Amino acid sequence: MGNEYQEIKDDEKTLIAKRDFVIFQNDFRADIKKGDDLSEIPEIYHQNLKTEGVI
Amino acid sequence: MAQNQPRHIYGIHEMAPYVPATGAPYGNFRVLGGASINLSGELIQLTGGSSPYPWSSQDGNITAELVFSPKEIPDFLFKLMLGNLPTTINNDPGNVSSLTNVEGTSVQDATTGIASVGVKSGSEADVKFGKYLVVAVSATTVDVYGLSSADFQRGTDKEYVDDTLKLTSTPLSITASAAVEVPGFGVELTGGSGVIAMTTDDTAEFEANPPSLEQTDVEIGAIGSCIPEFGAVITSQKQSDGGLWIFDVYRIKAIGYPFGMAEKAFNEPEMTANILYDSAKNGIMKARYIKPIVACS
Repeated sequence: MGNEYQEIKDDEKTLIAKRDFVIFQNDFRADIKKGDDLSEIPEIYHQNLKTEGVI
Repeated sequence: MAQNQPRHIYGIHEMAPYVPATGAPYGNFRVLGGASINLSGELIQLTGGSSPYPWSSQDGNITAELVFSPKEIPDFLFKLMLGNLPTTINNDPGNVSSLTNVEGTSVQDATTGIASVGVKSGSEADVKFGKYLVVAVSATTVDVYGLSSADFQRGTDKEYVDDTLKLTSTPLSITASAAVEVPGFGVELTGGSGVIAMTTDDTAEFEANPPSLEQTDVEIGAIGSCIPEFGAVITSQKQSDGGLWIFDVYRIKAIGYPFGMAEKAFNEPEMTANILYDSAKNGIMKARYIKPIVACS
């Protein structure tokens, strides 16, 4: 049998919004609400979300 | 033998300022409301005793002034009246000035703020003449404000979002090394190369210029600006008999210029300059009149 435990890497963790926030850049717009799953948000915005305390 | 026809002046044709030291012309005022050389003398009277009349009257000073009304604004006017020549660009495809911090230092920053502002390729027709302010709304977002709506119908029509003169209905996200367009304005803000971290309420400004045949910029009022003397050749309107006056005023000193913007009216300022004595030419001016044999040909 395989391992009973599977290591979960940081970038594979589910990203849940801690607060409301809006990303708006050219054709991309995301109206984020607290509790939203942010896994579909492009990675280019992840640093901004960290800086803004959204994740 | 009959008397000659009387001599008279009619109208104004143009005024051509020149550099006194070299005689080189600056250009000419063609849209001129008038030019009057006013030489107003003062008489010094000797009075005394019971006589109600002066015993003597002698020459006082003569106030020599040139009063003229330029209705056009050529480049040399800025130099002769305000001390600095403008920079003029012809046939420009559209441009944006550098982004300059106003409040704080975080908005324009090559690493953690907005590295630059520029015209978005392919959107040049949307660039609207004006001055703009970028305000940090949060660490990674900004709003943009416009300080004039006069050109908002150029390209994509735009209007203010609200009475604060804001142009962005939603703050724009600034991300590292990526450009974000100010929607409908043909300009884009490019994020710095590092982690974006602006300070809320910090501001920076820039100016935008649409594609143009002529773009003129001039800074006025810098300490150390030099306002030079100039000479001027002033020519009357040619009369139907060909009669024509030319006045060569050797040294003129002017200062200041009003940029009048009255409702539905052209700017028609009246300037007063001093006329000075030229020791090399031993005078202040030369007046010439011609009545040619052939009036018009």
